[in-house]
Amino acid sequence: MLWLRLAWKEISNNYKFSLFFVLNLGIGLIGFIALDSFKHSIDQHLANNSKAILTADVEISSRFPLTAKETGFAEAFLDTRFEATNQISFLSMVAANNNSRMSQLVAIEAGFPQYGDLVLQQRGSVQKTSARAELLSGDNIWVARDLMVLLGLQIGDQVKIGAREFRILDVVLDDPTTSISAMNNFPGIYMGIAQIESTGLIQLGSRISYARFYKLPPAFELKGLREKFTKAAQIEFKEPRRVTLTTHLDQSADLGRILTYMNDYLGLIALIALFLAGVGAAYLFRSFFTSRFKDMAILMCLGGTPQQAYYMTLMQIVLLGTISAAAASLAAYFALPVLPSLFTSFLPHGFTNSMDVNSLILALFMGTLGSVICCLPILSKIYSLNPVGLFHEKVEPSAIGPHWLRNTASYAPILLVFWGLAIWQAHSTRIGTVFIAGFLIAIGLLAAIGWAILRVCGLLSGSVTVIRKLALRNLDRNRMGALSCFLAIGLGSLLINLIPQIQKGLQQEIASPARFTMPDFFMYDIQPEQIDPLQQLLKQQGYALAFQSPQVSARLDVINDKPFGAALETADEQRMQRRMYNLTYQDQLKASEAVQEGKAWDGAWLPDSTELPGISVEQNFAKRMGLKIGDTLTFDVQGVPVQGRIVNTRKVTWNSFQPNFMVSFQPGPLDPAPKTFVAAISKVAANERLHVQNSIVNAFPNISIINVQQIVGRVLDITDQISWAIKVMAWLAILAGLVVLFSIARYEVKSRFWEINLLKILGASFTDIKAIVQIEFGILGFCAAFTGTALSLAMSYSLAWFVFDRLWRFDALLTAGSLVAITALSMLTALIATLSVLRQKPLELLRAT
Amino acid sequence: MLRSLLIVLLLLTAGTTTAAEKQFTILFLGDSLTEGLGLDSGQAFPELIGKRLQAAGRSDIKVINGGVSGSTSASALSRLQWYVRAKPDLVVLSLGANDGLRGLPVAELRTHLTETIEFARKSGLKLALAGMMIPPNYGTDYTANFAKVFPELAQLYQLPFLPFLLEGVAANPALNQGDGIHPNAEGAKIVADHVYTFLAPLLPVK
Repeated sequence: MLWLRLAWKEISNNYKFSLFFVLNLGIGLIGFIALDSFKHSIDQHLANNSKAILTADVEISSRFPLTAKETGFAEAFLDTRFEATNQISFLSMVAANNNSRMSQLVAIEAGFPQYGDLVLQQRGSVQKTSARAELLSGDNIWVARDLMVLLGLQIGDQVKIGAREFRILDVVLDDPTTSISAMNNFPGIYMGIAQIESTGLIQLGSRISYARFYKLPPAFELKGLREKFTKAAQIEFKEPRRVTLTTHLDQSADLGRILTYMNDYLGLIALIALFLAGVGAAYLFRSFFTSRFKDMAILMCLGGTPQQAYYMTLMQIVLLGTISAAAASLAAYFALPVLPSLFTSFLPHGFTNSMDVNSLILALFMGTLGSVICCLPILSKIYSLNPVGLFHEKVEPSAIGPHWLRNTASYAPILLVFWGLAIWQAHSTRIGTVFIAGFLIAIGLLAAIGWAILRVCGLLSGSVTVIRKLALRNLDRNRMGALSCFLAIGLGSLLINLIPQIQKGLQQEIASPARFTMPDFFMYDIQPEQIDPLQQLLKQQGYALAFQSPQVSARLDVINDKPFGAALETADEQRMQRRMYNLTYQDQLKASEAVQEGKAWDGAWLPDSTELPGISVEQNFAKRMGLKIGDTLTFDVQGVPVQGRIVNTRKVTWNSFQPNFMVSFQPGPLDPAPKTFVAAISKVAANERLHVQNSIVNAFPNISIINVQQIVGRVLDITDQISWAIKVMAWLAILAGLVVLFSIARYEVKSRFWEINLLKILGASFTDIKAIVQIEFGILGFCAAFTGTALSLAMSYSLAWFVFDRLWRFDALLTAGSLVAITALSMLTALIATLSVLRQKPLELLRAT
Repeated sequence: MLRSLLIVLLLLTAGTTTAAEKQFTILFLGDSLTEGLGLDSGQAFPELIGKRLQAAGRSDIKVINGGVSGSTSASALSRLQWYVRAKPDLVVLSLGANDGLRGLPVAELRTHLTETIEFARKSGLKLALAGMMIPPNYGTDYTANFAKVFPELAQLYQLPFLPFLLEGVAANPALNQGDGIHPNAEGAKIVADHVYTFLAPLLPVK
């Protein structure tokens, strides 16, 4: 209590300085809270969207009724609290008005859906109304709008399903679950579980899907859950794939991959926010502590022990830190929820931003315990503090002494705590460790480079004008102070610049290039003789067939005269051998392809040619299979061997919405092979889609047609939001970084007021003083930003290598921009701070010291 | 006279030798059930039949697995036209499961199979037909109409007919993979036994 009183007295006596300190730390912490909270809001928003497609966090399913042993096993595996709801679904022919259609019957319980919502024509939201209870109360059904149109049905009509008649209660207008089953894209009919059993369609041999959906606590880790479950289930049940577990991340390979990137990216952002706040707080705390050495020396002169001196100062810092964190939290609490309303036009629908409890805890931690941890290294220095220092201009403990081991060891808690926090923030030991290791290397390199630059400043000071000489000598003389500022700015710019390079790479991977537009329909299984009549049919309706590509099913048999897979021993490797490939053949590359290595072929291959037909392989496929240009491949094309030679590797833009293939042949050898075609139709008006789809299904029932907008639209919507979030977070990180840098630069200049004052007393003009400070901070800012940025390129590249599948693109504009911005910010902040010092009278400044 | 007899004998012997060396090729034209989706190499039923023939000393009989996963009866004709190059002596047509699972019109299935059977006739290919059934959840009318197509065509064209390819295997969890429709290794063995017994009378006598 005594320490607290003493500390508070000190603070109130120096209220101006205290306020300044609180303001600086507060600004930095607001940046951190905003960034971290926004990250959580985005994470939550995207996860909710993806969960809405599955309607749950996790689903276990089987083609056979789930036994108590199986559900018990799954629930023991999940080992957490949950809410569960069952579902039975299968395909069945539904007939009405002399017409019949394949439909997906879905039987639900009252708990469906656990996430997301179904929208009904008359009752609206399923979540917000009593629609479910009505449905489950009798022989009622909800029918998808498409099926209503196709079978000419009305609400209230009776429909016979199996042995029973059902009444149409309502029409499903919006169903997020339709986004999953691209291959089984049949319109849905919802009913109760008790009712589906009475249809008599569930018999021996029926192909039924039994599922149990789980809603789990928000923090439950889903990544890798499916793989772990598969292994555990195999051991338990001895039969693979009998019961499968799917998390909302596994529904779409692409979406899952992108959500994982996003998760890692947001983890990285959180780390950046943490370290930015850490660098800012550590810098300010240490500077504050150092500035208090004089008071401590006085206290020790008056008989205080180093411990007592330390406690008092530390208590001051803890108090100031707590006040800053509380003020920052309060400001963020009111400001954050308001922010989305200012940007409604570019925020995704339904996005809410709220302060995250974790961010708050971390901010308070930074303000309170953070100060203790950051000041531990200085604590050890107190033992080297000599009251004789009071007679020096600056009181500093001797750097080298008998306590060097304790000095070095005192850094260990910082390292351990930040390592732990990094892992916690990134939700990944790997990312957290890679990050902290990179950060430590960067600190070492920055310190070494900074030291060398400051030394060079001293050497250069001999041969320049007085102003420059003073500026350069200041930097050299005050090398420890300048170095800590250099480190803070350097680390700040490193953190700021880590994001743009990864952001650009990720965005290129995720967002589909603007030049490719998404078609409305994809069709596959088109027989060769159906191409012409199909084109005719579409032409009559004003549409055209696009991207038609032949598809030939074949098995890779021989690579360079060696049977493929002969040397493979494991079952997995041998399974690869059986892998059938869909080959295509084409005259020239599509817009989504580019030759990476080798040459494109010229025209068709002729049977009398002395050369083998050309083969083009996708670059990653070639890498995976160890293929190179010149290799010969022999495919078993349904009983007939067809040989070719690899003449080029291709780069394929997979998210181009065009049919893309791993292996493409020169036209000629595969022309007579049995094949089907894939093709697309674009630019179909929304109200025409059902009609177009229907006309194709009626004329060519064997052609599978996928309503891309319906299936991919929702996933793409999430992808777009992710792409948007990645960009926004990058800018926010830069902004938060600049805020922290601003508070560091401001503090640093303020701490120079003694020197500035001295110069003023000695008769230096305001212009000269301004110029000296500008040069000093210009050099510091530029050199630190340059070094930090260069290091960030190396670090972001390795992060991309380890975490983001090497998705890294150099963003020259952003890099140069941040370099200019940081230098300008350092100089501008220095100038503003100098002006405020200059405005004060020298006498006031003298009194203040 | 002796010289002429020798020539005739030589010719006869040559003829006998050629006949003995001539391979009899069986082509299984089917879908994933034939291809052996989800099974390890060599476990699909056509390969098992091939191995069994080898073991029985029938190295003169060659088996071609012409199964393509996901294929419907619509692809049957063009695929058979391609396989004519391989000169199969017996074609086992086992397509239609995907037509049923996708709910394609039964009339389409009938048309595609008819076209394929007629092409085989014109080309002088001997053809056997394997029947298929689809799960009862697809509805009574549809499943009944679907199942009728195969015996009717077999009768019409007087084809050797295997009533149900998955006899004794379908709907048995122990003999199927997790998806409930593709036989596992055990299931494939039973299919192979069943098809082997069906084919035996159609093979040339050694």
